[in-house]
Amino acid sequence: MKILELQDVSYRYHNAYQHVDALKNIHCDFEEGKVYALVGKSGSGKSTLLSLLAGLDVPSGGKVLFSGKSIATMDRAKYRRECAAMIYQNFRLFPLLTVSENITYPMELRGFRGKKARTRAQELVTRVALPESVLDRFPSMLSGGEQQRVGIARALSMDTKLLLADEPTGNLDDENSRNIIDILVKLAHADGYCVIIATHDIGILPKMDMVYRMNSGKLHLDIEKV
Amino acid sequence: MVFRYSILSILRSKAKTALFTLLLFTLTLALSLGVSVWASVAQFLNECDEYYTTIGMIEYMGTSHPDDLIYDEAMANALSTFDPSFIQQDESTLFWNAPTRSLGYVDGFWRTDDYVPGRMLSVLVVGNVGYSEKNRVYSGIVMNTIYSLKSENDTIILIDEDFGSFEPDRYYLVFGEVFYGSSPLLHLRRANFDNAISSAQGIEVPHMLDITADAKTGQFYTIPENSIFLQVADTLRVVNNSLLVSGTEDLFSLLPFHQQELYLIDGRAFTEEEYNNGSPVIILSELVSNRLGVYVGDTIDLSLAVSDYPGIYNSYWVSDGFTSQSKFKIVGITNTVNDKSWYAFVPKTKDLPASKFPIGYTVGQAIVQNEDAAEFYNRVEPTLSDRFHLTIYDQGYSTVAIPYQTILIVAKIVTLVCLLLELAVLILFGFLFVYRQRETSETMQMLGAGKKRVIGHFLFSAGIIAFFSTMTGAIAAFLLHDRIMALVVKAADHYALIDARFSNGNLTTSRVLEFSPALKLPLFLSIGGVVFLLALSACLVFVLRTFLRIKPTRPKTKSPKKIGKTSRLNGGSLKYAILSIIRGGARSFIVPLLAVAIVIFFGQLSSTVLRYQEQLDTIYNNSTIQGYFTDINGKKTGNQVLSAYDITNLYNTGQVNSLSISIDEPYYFLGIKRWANGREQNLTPLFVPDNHFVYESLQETIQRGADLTATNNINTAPEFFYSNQVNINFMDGYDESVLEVPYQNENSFTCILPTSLMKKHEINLGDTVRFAINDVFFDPTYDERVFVHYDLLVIGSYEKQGAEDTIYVPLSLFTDTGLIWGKGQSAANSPTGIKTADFTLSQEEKDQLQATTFQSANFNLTDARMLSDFKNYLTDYGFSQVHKVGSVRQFIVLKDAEFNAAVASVKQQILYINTLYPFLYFLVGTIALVVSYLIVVSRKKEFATMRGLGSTRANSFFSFFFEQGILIFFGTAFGLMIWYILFDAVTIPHRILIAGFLICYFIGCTISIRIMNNANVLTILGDRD
Repeated sequence: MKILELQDVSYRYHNAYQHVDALKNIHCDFEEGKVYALVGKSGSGKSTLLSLLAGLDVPSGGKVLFSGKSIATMDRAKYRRECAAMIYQNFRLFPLLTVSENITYPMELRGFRGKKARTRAQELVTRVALPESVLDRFPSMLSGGEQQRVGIARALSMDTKLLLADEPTGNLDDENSRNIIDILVKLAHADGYCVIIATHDIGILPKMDMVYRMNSGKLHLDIEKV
Repeated sequence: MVFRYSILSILRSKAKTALFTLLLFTLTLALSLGVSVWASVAQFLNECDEYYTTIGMIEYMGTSHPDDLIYDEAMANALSTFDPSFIQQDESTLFWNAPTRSLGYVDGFWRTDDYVPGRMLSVLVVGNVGYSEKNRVYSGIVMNTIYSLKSENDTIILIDEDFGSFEPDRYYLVFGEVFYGSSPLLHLRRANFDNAISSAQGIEVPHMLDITADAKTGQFYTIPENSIFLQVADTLRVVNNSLLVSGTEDLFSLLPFHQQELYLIDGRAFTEEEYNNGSPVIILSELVSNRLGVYVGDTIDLSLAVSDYPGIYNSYWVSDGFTSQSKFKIVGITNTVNDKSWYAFVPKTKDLPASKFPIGYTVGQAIVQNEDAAEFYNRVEPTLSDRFHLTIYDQGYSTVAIPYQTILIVAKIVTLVCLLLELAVLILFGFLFVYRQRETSETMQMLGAGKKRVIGHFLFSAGIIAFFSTMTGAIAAFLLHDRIMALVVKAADHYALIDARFSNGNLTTSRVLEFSPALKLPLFLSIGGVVFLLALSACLVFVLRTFLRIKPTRPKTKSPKKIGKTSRLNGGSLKYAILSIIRGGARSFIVPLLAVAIVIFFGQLSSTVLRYQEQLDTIYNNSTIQGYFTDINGKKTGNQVLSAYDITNLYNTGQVNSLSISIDEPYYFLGIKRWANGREQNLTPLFVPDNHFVYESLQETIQRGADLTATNNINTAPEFFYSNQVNINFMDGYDESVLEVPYQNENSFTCILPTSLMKKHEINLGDTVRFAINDVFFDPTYDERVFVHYDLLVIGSYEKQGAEDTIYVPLSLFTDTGLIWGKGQSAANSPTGIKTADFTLSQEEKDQLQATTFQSANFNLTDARMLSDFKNYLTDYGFSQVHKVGSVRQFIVLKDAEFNAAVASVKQQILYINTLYPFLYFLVGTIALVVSYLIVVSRKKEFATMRGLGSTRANSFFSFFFEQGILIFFGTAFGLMIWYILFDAVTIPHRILIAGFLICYFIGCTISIRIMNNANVLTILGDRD
């Protein structure tokens, strides 16, 4: 089922001296139950595209449709709160909140709190293969792989079918990278999430359902697993 | 949720929270106290401004000054060219009040004071007059007292034989002076009736008139109707019971009211409307009110008299009557002061009859802005003509307010510094509590928290800290407020830059207004509230800045770098330091530029301090402070009774020089003893008359005559004390130093005569003249008692400035100057200077000095720097100040007001500098520490890479240390060079400050390099931000 649709999306940076076309007339669709990879050189436009998909910005031209509705016309904070969950290379966990609090934070944004939220956090850490004992720890007490799993758990707590991951394995070793990717792939294939991963790690590409390559702001379909 | 996470974030960053709570608390406390001191002192100064009135009183310092009733012709002449408009238009003048005066009369009021003008003049009918051959005097009975303050009917009266020829059994109308002489009986002597109006009408008042009645009438005597004697009596009755009516536009600016010598004990002052309308309202003394039996609200018939002749008592002559008569309503009653009990005050109007001629020496009073009084004085006084003098009376404003003005400036400086520090801390607070947590903000946004939630989260967490610390700081400030205010009062004593004791700037009666601030808690809470809002604003700005970062990073464009040559320097830390400097680009300019700026800044600061110090030295070196003995009001310079012993002690402190003294003896001119051409005249002495009454009259005649003034300095003698125009024409071979010479022999005395006297007696320079004084001795040559006389060589003449024909003679004529200046020493040139501790007088000398009195004395201070010490000496000795009587009733005034104002102004600047500069030094030191720290820390990755590549800690340390050392030394040297080129000198304080700056800079470098040396290299390299 199509969850995201990009129609002729362009994005242009301006400054006093020049403008840069970061994205040029991109058309593509993203469906639930699939894992997508966005690859390309640094500066090719991956992060820009991911930002548009996450609702952090709006395109200079064209439309990004979520479930058929343009993000530009939506309350973008609500979109990020309820529609698009993001996983980051540097985890972006609240350093002063415990793992439990980090995970329940998005739930509480949606008014889901108390014991139920805590129970849900317990489920989620188990789901990303972390022991329950991490719940009361601070992020600084966890390893990189563990922090990223907490990041994924936090994304899952948002109860959305769209997971966006920006270099989720960039700060992890091979084993941890594999584990994280496995979790994400499982989330897509078993639980029906649409997972879009911006990455440089070509080792993970075989596990992807579709690989898009970004080049000078243009998007090309590179691999499609049938 | 927002609140919970906010609180959690506070609790989980305890150190930072505690640090900033403490910082904000301390700074809010300091700021609140600063503002409270500022507000309290500013409010107090406003109250002072309301409470105190400063007047600038312009007087003419005539030779009879401070006589308040006199007509001085010289003053009238000077006033004809005096234009007060420049005073009225002065920027500090609020109001110019030039009161009018006139003679007033209210039927029923009588005077008994010592100032009744013709208190001895009487019109009597005497009879039964007989002549005593033995006493050569008439004696008679007062048959009828037509007008007299002394005589009563049926009393015996003695009449001078020169009064006229009396016959027994006859009755006479007599006019003359009645007094009690050395006998218990009344005494009548001839006197003139001085009334300019009657004189101008050709009326002559005879001394006696036979009024014996025809026996047929059955009466002893008949007083003719319209007799001139009756007119004289009626005139005396009015003049001797007159009021002095002052028309004023501002009652309280009149000196007696301003100085609270006079004050209202009942009723009120004039209203603005009464001034404007010239309403017929009057303020009288309690004495007048009681004698008339009238009180506030009653109406009196006031007659006013003015004439075309000068002198208050020439305003009325009975046949001419009064100028105006009208009803005045009494609105106020003043206390009774002996010498002003007959003064009355009315609003000044055009229609109010006023004397065309000055009465007394007051020209007018300018009400000036309190705080500008010193500037007003400096502007006006130099422009005044000779003998016009400006005195500032500020009721003690300057003594009270100037220290608080200083405190106000200090409070402003401290408050502004606190405010700047507070703002800096608030910015740091916002930066650390918000901007440094921008990832949290970004993550929250990415998780869809929304901007309001993000703002709420940060503002709540920061707000809790800010609210708690600012409010507790404000409350603590409120609780400490009273103690701080007590310190302010102490500081006011400390900041009393002007020592007003004995000063001519302090001739005023001091009113006391106490500093008692009453600030309420809401003020402090509002200060805390403002700081709290500023804290929130700082946080809000940083929160909003975090929102900018969430958008995708824009690509940076860089210009390609020019490729340099490979260095051939040897290895080691110095190589790296030099390469880093050479290739550092703009970075390498930051530290030298900072050093140049600091060197110049410090140069400016230290030169400012030196400049003020030099100004102070110049003032001290160029100031001559004159002091003089005066009366309790600080008005008189002559006619005093000053102890020679006290003045000798004063002189021997070594702190004064140019001591000038005068002694007055009334003289009686006996004639020219020897003419300049050598011709001599055989003059007999003035013999003491056998007749006691004649002797008494002669003594009184001498006593009422002009003075022979013995002085060592004519320029500062009372007649010329306020004048710059002393023109003396000396005979060849003589100058003013003749007055200073010690006693040689009785034939060596000289004198300087007024030209008027020389003209009157046809005296020329070179003549020797004889004068007698009121002292007698037995002269064996004549075998009789004679008056003491002196034969004086006339060596100079001068134009007199008063009415008196004063003759100036050397001081040694009347006193042994050797007791003061040393035996054989000139009364001017001998060294001052036996310190009190070493100075001893024999008992005989003490007795001699204690028996001697001077009529005037003035002096200069040896060294203006010693002014306070000198004042301490005067205080310890017990000398009196104007309006402040000490144990020694000798009043001294030091003319140091201008000097004090100049010194206080410079000292005030130095005080501000001393208050502000520590902050600036601290600031520069902090900048040095922080900049050096930031410069080094900003290159931590470079440092970590160096360490990662195997550089030792020492090598890394010195690489950075050398680099910073070279940069800072180069900058400092360059700065010093610029400063030296511009100002040609680098002072020691400047060098010390630069050294302090360098030390701070190197401490900052050392700390930061050591911190990096101790940090984990991988941690530094792995740190993204």
